[in-house]
Amino acid sequence: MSPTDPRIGQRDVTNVRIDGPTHVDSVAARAAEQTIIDLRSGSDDPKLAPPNQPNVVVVTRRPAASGRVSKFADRVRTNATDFRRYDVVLIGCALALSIIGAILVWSATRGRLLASDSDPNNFLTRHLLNLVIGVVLGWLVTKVDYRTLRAYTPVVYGVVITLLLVVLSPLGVTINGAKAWITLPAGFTLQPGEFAKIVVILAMAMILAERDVGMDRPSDTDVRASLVWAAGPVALIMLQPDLGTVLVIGTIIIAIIAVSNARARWVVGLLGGAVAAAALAIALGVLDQYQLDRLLAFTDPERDLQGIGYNTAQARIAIGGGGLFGQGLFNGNQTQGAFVPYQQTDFVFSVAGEELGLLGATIIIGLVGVILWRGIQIARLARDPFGRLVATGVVAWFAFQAFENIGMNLGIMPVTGVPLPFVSYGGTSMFAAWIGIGLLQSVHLRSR
Amino acid sequence: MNHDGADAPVARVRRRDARIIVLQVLVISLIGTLFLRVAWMQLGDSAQYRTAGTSNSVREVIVPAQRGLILDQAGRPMVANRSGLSVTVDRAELARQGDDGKAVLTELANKLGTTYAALVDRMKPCGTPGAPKQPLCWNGPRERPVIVAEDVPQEVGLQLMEAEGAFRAVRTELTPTRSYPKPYGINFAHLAGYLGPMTSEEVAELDEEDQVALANSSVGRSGLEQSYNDVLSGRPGVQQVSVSRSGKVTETLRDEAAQAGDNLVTSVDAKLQALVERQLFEALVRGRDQGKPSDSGTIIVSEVETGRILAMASAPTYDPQVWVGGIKESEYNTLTDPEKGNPLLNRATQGTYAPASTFKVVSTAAAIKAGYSPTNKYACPAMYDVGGQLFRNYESRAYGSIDFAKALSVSCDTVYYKLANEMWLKDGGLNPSGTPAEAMYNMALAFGLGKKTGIDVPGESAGRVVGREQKKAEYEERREDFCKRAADGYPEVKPKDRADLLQAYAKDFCAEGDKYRAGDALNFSIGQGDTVVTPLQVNSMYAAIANGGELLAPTVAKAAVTREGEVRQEYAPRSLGRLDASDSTLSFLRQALADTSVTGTASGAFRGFPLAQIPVASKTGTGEVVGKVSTSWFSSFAPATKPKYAVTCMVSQGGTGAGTCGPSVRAIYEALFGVSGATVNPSKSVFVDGKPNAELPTVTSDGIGKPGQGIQPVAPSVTTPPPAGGEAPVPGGLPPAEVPRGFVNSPSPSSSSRSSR
Repeated sequence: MSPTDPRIGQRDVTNVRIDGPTHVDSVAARAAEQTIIDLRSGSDDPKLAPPNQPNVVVVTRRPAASGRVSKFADRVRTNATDFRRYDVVLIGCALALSIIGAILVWSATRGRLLASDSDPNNFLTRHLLNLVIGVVLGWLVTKVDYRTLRAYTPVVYGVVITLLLVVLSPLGVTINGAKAWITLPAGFTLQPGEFAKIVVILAMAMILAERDVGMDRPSDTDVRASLVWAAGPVALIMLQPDLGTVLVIGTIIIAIIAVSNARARWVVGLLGGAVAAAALAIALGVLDQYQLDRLLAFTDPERDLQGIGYNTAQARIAIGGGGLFGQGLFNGNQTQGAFVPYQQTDFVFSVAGEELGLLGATIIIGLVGVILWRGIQIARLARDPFGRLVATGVVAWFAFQAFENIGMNLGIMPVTGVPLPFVSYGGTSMFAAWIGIGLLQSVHLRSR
Repeated sequence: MNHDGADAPVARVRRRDARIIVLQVLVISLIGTLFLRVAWMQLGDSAQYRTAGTSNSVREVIVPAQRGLILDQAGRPMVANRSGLSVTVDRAELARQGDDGKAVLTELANKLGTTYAALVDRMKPCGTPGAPKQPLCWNGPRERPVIVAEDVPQEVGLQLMEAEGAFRAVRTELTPTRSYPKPYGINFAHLAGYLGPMTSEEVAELDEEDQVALANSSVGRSGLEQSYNDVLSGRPGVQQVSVSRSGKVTETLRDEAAQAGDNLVTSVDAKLQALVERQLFEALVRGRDQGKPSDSGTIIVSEVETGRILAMASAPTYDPQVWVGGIKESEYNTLTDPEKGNPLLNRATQGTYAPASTFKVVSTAAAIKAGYSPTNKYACPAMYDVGGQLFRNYESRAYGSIDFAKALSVSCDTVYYKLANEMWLKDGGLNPSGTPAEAMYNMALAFGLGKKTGIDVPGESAGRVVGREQKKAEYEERREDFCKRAADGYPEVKPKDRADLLQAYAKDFCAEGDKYRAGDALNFSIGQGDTVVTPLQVNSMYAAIANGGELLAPTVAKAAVTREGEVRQEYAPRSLGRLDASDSTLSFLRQALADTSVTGTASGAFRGFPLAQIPVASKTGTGEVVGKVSTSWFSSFAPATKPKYAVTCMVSQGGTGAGTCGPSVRAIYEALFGVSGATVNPSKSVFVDGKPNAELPTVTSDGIGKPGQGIQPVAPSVTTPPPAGGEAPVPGGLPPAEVPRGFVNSPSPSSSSRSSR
């Protein structure tokens, strides 16, 4: 943030400054009263902070007394500037994916809904509603400096842990073998596992971004602490059990630790540990039968065509039947015949493959690719390690989920039931994805 | 601009970036992998998947199972099958048409002779808003094509088949439907029952494989069709095949042949059934000729040693054909309209009536058991006075001093009043101490009243007998209503004197409805008051007296027989226990009832009947119903000395038992024993050899009854084996018009082909 940043003095801006000696902007210092809180000691006075603690301070500025009129004029100017500062390509791609998703969900559900005498646009309407809510949530996140988020991470973390506990309580609902949902009024459901991805990103970034003076990598203690923070949500999600989300979070953990510049042995160790844990889980029969079945169907797709292999076989038939330009929207043999189970959620990609062909599939993969590319750029240009790690986490999350989801549609990944971000039908997943975009934007807005 | 860690060495920044670059490379390779895989699948590999994809276009061919036949005791088909054309509409396919299929449906409605609106109504799943009521709405699984018309005329079906391109979503299929050959002109609607499509709830309960096979099948909804559905239904064949666009079958995934249902051999004799139906009609006509409404009635004929039903008729009745092809709303309303006599109700098992004097066998048995000597003389005055209340001798007159036998045969009410009053007093009157004996009540229970007979057709009523305990319990339940009525009266009831009567009753009930009063005991003894029974219960009770005290569950089905003629299962007679009466009591009752036909109330009906050769034990009854004409009862068995058959006749609002029912019962015995005039000739019996077929008839693979081994002489006209789809041998010379019509052989595999798309 440059000293000439027009925003200073015009509204409540909460800054979290990290790294290096405390460096309070001189203009800001003149324009605002300062409240400095040391996060670790909880003291209001930075001088009371133990000297060997990293210099983590939150600087809250109150607006300077200035004329109302100029305030308003500034605000108008700010909004215009704000929009230019957003990563428009990133938003555009996410929006395009969401709209394509809406159309695919519509196509996958219309025939079935008609056949049961329901409103054929039911899923379409809900998908669009979810999109609107998601965009608003994402926009709200960009409005908050991500460094403020860091201050509130423990609170958000607590809320999500509570929700995950509620899921496991009798209030939780079991769908498709996993107790991962909470019912809300008016027929809506909430899947707190989606939000767990976000809090794991924030919590790990929070811990790993703190550095001792002069250190360019997090200490082993910090890495351990971050793993402890991540372990809570992972454990609760394993109890549901929602294997897909656990894998997504696992990827996030490894990516953040890797990019945090922690010692290479941590990265190698975690990768090795993950493989060992998977092997152990299968050997000890920790996985439920259905989870194993899915894995087996992946290793041998022709195995049980009428049983568990049916999903993947039907999805692959759908995609393979698409050809270059597809069979046309609302005209896919497999899709309109409702041959592919969970087609509006986990297997939504097969609708694109069949009805829109290679062209549609390529557009979707391309849009995902652009989002990831922008995310990585944002991580690189982040102004501080926290922003970099948050962006990295979001990229890892989207990357793994997209690859896993499209991969299982294409028969090159086992079926684990993760949605394709923005495209699959599902409220919580849509909200979380847009919050992810919001986090990327937030880092971008305040980048170098 | 503020570089993070501005003091950090450039190398460190590079290293940190290096890890992001690794991430970047990883992401690029993942995206690249996905792209290559999609391209490979859709371009390189596409042809293979395209075939696989189109192979899904037609996946299932369901070959409906031929439903088993329902045969009479000689093997004559009473319920059979034939092929009909049915028209289905696939709603998902309709929805894909621009105008939601309006054009197609309008044209289809034209062809079917119905309206667009009616077709739309038919396609609404039952229970959704705006759907018509069952069975007019679509009760089948929602995702499946809706059957909009069954049994359509052949030329219409052929037109639709030819124009299948123009009628997308509409299919014409050959489906087996029920046919009713009506041997000897029988109606048989109530016992046969009818079929209805499986409901979506029922389909949902099936496992996945069964859902595919059975989703469009019909199940029995009443009568034998319902109780023996598992025997009759068989199992549809399922062929799941991959079919290419050009219509070539590329692969067979599942191939199960249809298994035809087993035939059900019943104990009903079609010839006797036809006669019984005719005699019931005659009885109703007789009642009406006497100026009685005679709104409904039933006749039951059973075999006393086995409990098997030989014939059962209920009036009013309906043509079972109305159910075939889906019932129309107007027809259904007629079947259930009380104004039109509710023809759907089987009076024999579902109608409940006061048993009246037919109940006196119970009272007599109870009195004998309580120590009264049957040979002592008891006063039979015209009135009996209990505490100032006079009880009339309804069906009889004063006979002076008579014994039990006479009291039964002349049906003297006052004798029973006296017995009932004495027993009631002995039980402690209004305020019994300890457990009262309740001899008559307990005897009624022992004779099978107040509980279901256990006949093998569903929907039976248990009737009602009320003892002291029940009286109390019912009072607690109904006191509030009655006390309210006692205060408010019945302003909605006309005329006023009836409203007053009802109010007086309500007052009475409110005040001391829990007390089992002398009047209750008296009414109970003559089968009036709170007691109601089904005609079948009465018949079973008399059959038990006849066979020496064994109360048997009536049965209609004798055996399940495969198409190949192999007996799969026989249904043996089932005993429900013994009557609580000694052998001497029972033989006394048989004798007294035999006297009834000679000198008693039934003597008029049997005047000129060769009672010396075939003594008939009978009991008439005239049930009093408040505000209605009395119920005509006639229960009997014969020969009284060595009973074979029990016959019970009931006509609601038909007047006296002897006058309305009597002649019909006599005609039935004449047919059973081959009586003409005063001579008995067993060879003239409705039964070949003069008795029901003791063995199962031989049934050929196409379900046509063939003469049993020497049991059934072949009618001269039928000396060669019947042609395929041909006729059943009909013993006795009946006009050709009454010869049962043929039914189709097993359906061709092409009879129904349905794709789930």
